[in-house]
Amino acid sequence: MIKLSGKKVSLNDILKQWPWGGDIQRDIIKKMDASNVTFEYPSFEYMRYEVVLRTNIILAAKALYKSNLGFALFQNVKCDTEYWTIYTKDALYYGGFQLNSKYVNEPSIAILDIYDNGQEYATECATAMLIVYYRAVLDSIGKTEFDKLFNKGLLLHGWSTIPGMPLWYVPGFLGVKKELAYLPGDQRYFKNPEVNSLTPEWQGENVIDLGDGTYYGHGIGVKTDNQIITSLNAKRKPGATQSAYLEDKANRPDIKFLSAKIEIQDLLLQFIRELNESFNRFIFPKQKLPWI
Amino acid sequence: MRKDHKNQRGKNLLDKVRIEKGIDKMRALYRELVEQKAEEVIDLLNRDDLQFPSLFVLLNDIEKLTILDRLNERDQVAIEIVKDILSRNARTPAAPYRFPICDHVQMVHSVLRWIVETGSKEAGLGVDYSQTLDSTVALLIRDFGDKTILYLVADLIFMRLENEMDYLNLVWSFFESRDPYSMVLIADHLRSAGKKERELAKRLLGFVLKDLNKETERESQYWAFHKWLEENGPYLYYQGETFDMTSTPSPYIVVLEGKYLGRSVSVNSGKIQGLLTEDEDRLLKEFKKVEEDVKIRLATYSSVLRNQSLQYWQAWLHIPMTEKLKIANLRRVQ
Repeated sequence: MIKLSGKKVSLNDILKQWPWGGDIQRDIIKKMDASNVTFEYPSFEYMRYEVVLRTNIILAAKALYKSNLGFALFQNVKCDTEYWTIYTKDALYYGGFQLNSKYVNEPSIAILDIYDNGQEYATECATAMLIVYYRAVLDSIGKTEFDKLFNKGLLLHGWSTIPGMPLWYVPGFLGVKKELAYLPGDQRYFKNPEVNSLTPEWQGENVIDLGDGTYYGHGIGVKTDNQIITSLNAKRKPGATQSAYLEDKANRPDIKFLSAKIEIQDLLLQFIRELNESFNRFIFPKQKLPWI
Repeated sequence: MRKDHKNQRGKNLLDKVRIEKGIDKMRALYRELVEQKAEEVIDLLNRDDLQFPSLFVLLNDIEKLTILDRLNERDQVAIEIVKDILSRNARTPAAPYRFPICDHVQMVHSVLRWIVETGSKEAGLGVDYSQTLDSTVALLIRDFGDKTILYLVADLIFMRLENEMDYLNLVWSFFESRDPYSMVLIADHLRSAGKKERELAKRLLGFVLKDLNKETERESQYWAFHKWLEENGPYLYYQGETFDMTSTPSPYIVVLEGKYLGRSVSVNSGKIQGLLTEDEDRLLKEFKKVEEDVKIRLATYSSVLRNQSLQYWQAWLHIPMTEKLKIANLRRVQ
C-alpha cells in the first residue's frame, strides 16, 4: 500500500501522474502498492525521488556488470592511477580506491571512469556495491550537485567510508537491517555460513535486487537466487550440510534522513527541473509537470 | 543433481522411515530401492539432510552392495571414521595418510596449533606467510572449534594494525568463534595508550559502544563494555554480521526474550536453552505481543531487578503487563 501525505493512494492514480520512466519504475510502484507493508511519504515528490533512485541503482548495477570490472581480493585490487590510488595505510581500508586530489572537486569523472574503463579496475563485491551507489546518486542528482556533495574526497572500500565521515554522507543509505518488505534496488546479502575456511571471500555475496527475479553480484554476475545459492554452496567446506541463503535484511535509500542532511528539497527541485526539460523536449512538448 | 535442504531435518525418506517405522523397515526400503532404483537411493544417501543414524544402520548393506564409491565425501569419510573407531586394536592407516583417520584429524589439529602458537609473533615474513597464518587460524577456530588460541589471535590483529598489514580475515575468524566473552580480549585495547589501537577496538566493538557513546574516557568505555557484557553475555546470539556485509557489523544481538526471563540462550540458534515451564511460556507469549522498544525496557528492568532481589523480581514478573511496564518506566534503567 502507498500513502502520500497520510492518505492511501490507488495504483491507478499514481500511474496517471507517472508519464515518464520505463518498466522498472512502474514495477517498483506496483510492488509497493501490492505489498502488505505501507510505504508512506510526505509528498509525491519524495516517493518519486525514491523510485528514481532505486531505478538508477538497478541501471547502475547492470551497467557495472557490463563494464568488464574485474574481481579481486583487497590484496590484489587494481585501478586507473590517473583517478585513484590504492590505499594501504590502514587495514580497515586496505586495498580501497582513494580519489586522487586532482579530482577532489570533480569526483563524478572518476566514478564514471570505472564504468567507461572497467577493464582497468578490479575489486571485491562490497566495493562494487558502493560504486553502484555513487553512480546511482550521480545519475539521480546530476554532475553539478554530485561534485558539490562529495567534494571532501572519496574512498571506495567495502562498506567503509572516509574516516570521520559517516555512511549516510555517501549516498544516504541506512545500513543493513531487517525490513518488512523488499523492493527492487535493495542491496541484499547471500550468506554462506559453512564457507570453506581457506576461501573467506566466499563467506557471502553482496547483491543488488534487479526486480525481475535476478540479482547482480560482483564476481558472480546477474543470476537468480537459486543460481547464486548454488554458486556459494560450491564454495563450502567439504562435508558441509548448511546451504547458503538470502539474509532477511537489506540496505536501502533513506529518503527522510537524506532530506534532513542534504536539503533534498533543493535537489528535488533541480532534479524535477531537469526532468521537466527532457520531458518537454522529448515527450510532451507543451506540457509542464503540475507541481513546477 | 545434488540437492540442498536447509532446516528439513527428518524429511529425508530414509530418516523418515527409520524414525517412524524403525530400522528394519528402513533397511527393507533401502534394499528394495537399491534393486529397483539405485540412483534414487544414492541420491537419498548423498543429500545434505541425511542424518548420521541412517547411514550408520546401513553401513554393512552399503559395503555389501559396493555403492561406496558413488557416495559423497561426507558419507565416505563418516564410514572411514566409524570403521576406525570400531576396529579397536586392528586400526590401519587411512589412504593416503600414514595414520588411521581419527589420528590423522588429531595430528592436523596439533600441527595447526603449533603453527599459530609458535608463529603468531612473527609479523614480517610477507603476504604468503600472513595468508598461511590467517587460514590456519580460520581452520582452528571454525573447523576445530578451538577457542584456546583466541588470545593469540587478538594479539595478532593488533600487531598487524601496528605493522599496517591486513587483519580483516583474522577479525572474521575471531568472531566466528561464537564466544561472546572472548570480546574482552579486544576490550582490553579500549584503554590502550595508542590511539590507533583504541580506535580499532572501538570499531570492532562498535555494535556495543554505540549505545554507550556517552562514555568517552578510555577507562569508562572499558568498564561500560564489561558491564554490558556481564548484563547481556548469557543472552547473546551470534548472527554472523561481518565487515563483508556492512561497515558497522553487529556480530551478536541480545535475545530479549531470554534476558526478560533470565534464561540463557544458545549462541548458535538464539533459542532459549532447556525447556520452558508453563509459567515461563505464558510470560513469554505475553512479552512477544509488545513493541520492540517496550521489550527492551522490560528486559533491561527485569535483568536489573533480578540481580537486586529474586523475590521482588518474581513478584514483578507476575503482575499484569500494564503494571509491569509502569514500574519499569518509573524506575527506568540507563
